[in-house]
Amino acid sequence: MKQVAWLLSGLQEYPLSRLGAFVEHRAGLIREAGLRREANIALENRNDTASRWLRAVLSEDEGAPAQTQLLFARVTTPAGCQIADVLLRRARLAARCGDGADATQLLREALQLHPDYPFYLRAESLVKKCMPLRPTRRRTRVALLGSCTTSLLRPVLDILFLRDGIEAEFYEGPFASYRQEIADKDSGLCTFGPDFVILLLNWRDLGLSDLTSSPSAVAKQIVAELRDVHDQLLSRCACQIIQPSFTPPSGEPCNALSSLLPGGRTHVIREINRMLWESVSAQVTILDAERLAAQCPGQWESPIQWSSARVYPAPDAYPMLAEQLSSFIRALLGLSSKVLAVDLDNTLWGGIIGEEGLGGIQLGGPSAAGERYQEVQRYLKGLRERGVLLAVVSKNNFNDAASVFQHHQGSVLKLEDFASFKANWEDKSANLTAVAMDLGLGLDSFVFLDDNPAERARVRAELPEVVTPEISTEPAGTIVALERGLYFQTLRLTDEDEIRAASYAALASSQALRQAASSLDEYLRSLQMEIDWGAVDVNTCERVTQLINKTNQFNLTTKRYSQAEVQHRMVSQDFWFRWYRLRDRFADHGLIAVVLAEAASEEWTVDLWLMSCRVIGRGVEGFMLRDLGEAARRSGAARLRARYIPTAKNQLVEDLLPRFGFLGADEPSEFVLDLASAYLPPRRFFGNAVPAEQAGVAVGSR
Amino acid sequence: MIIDRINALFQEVFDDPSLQIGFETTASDIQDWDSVAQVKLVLAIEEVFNVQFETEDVAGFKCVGDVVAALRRKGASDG
Repeated sequence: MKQVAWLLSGLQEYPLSRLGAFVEHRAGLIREAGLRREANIALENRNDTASRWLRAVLSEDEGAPAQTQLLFARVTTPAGCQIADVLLRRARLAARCGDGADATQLLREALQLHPDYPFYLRAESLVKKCMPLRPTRRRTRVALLGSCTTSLLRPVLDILFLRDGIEAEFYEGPFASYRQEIADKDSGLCTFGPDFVILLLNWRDLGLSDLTSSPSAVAKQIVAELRDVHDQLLSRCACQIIQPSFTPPSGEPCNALSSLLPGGRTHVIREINRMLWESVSAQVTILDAERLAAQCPGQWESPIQWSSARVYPAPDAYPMLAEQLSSFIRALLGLSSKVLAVDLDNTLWGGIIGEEGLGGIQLGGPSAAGERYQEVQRYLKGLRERGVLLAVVSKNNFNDAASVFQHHQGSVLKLEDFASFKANWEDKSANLTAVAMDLGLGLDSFVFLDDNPAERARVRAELPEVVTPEISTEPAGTIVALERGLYFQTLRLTDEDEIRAASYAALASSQALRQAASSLDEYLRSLQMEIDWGAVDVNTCERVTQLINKTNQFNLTTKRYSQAEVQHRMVSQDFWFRWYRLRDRFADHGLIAVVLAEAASEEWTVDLWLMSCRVIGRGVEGFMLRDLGEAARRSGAARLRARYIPTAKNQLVEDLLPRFGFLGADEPSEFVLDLASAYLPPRRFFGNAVPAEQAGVAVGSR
Repeated sequence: MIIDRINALFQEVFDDPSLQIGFETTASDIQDWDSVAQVKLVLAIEEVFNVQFETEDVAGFKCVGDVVAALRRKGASDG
């Protein structure tokens, strides 16, 4: 028995970060000594994290996977938070029992904890046994190119894509031969046809000496060469390039002079980065690696790994780098989250408003915790100001909850910052679903913050599509969780992003009005809508591209086009390409709809017909059809041809074509409208709707 | 034993629960043991044993015995 006591000693004192390996080691020793039964009996009376963990590991020998699964599920941190290694273990057990879907869900939860690199190594083999998330949100093709070993980064990306519901195919070229791969049109890379190319170069590729004699000429020369690489690649493949910026080496003989002197290597590297940011085309996105290196938990660069296997940056940095890269890809695919739903008590302030009242909660100085909570609110305000929607989902009396935003001196957030506000005693999943309905957005664009582990677990179980990060009761951790997750990554800020938040808040109040209006017509009239429209041009193509790639529900064909493809269609005489902008008494909704038609002489074919879900149900589609039909008539076309391409999300427009009098054509889901006899919808409800020519607006590209 | 804990890591990295290694096992004995796998092994071993190998250690790993020897030099024990 003395031996058992020794084998179980020191467990509680062991640091959590390395507890997994320690527990495994002890389990091995217990098995070797044949003391499993005795250890089990001793462990049953203990309730700490390490003891529960050890008990779960030992139970695996008993051949009862369900029991083991249950024991592992009870292993959490003292604060009730999940542990990545434990979740990985549970995922493995689930996969072994043939439950691939459960394994995926557990692995996704583990990844919300942002584990370090060895975790990804351990999880790599499991991914093959996991079921991809259904339905798949997007398929994509990713090539990893560069002057370093890329195959250690790949598994991390692979796992993150599984988490995000992206089915990715990867291509890795022969080691460090990216220039040859790009130059040869028959290379593996060009044959693969990537949607995204991740280009990993580092300071060694720049060939800079410690001090450069004519630094600005050298920097210009290097940037020109890099742009050549980009241009050549873009001429071979219709792809987006993502390239981390250059970081200075960790060893600089010039020390501070390296940054201070114009010719110092650090100075020149920063100059190159700056020029890259300013000069690259829209298809190239430069990732700020210097900022990433500053935040890296371990070492950013490992000379040992570089010399042994050409690894750059160090594997310690891979999880952060991969999170950044995958957030860029999500943003470019239009999959970034759009809504942040938050709990209130102990999430946006310290304490419970319903019990402690306005004077009792902690929000703002001088209390340290109050200051942290205020900082969280300030961060959320920043998100809102760049277009992320905020919603409250809290178990509280509405008036108590609202009073903080109305009357508390320390509250940075005000009531009108929230696009939806649910403070009641309903289930949180039900409230989240209601918020999604209010805003007309899918739950897969939601992130949910709650300090209560039980509420998080419930939402994860009932709404797995909602991202529910693991946060503790420490307010400082909330910002860290949001920063690491990069859920709301946006790479280009359009005017619409800034007004979107206001527009959604207006949507919530206009829904209240809809309930009051006795009929739909009355409601639409009461909105006092005004519409603007015009041909897609250089000023609008960025927002139009964004809309094309983000719109899921009101989207007839769901075709996605890159900025280059949009630009091509915008200037080509073969296309009629229009945008629409909507204002009402509540808000300026910005540019919210797009139509693209292939304009042949006899027949126009609708290629895109889409509208932001913010303004669904306003009759804008009728206005668009009239605009399209009249333009086609003027050009002498006899027919409009259109096709509905069904996706998981666009049932909304299933009957759009028949509703406007299109008749079924020979091909299934293809429809034709005879322009001679067609009745085009009238321009009711739009106060300023006069024909485009009279309004002095350019009539498309024709 | 150190070798048993290393064996478990090999099984994990090569995704083969039946893999059994000995002190004499070399890269040529295991088909997937390439330079990338080598890095993965080194990282996994460093994590589990809480040690940091040096360039010379890593370059000197010709067989499993070399890894065990390096770990002993770094103070890992069989206990």
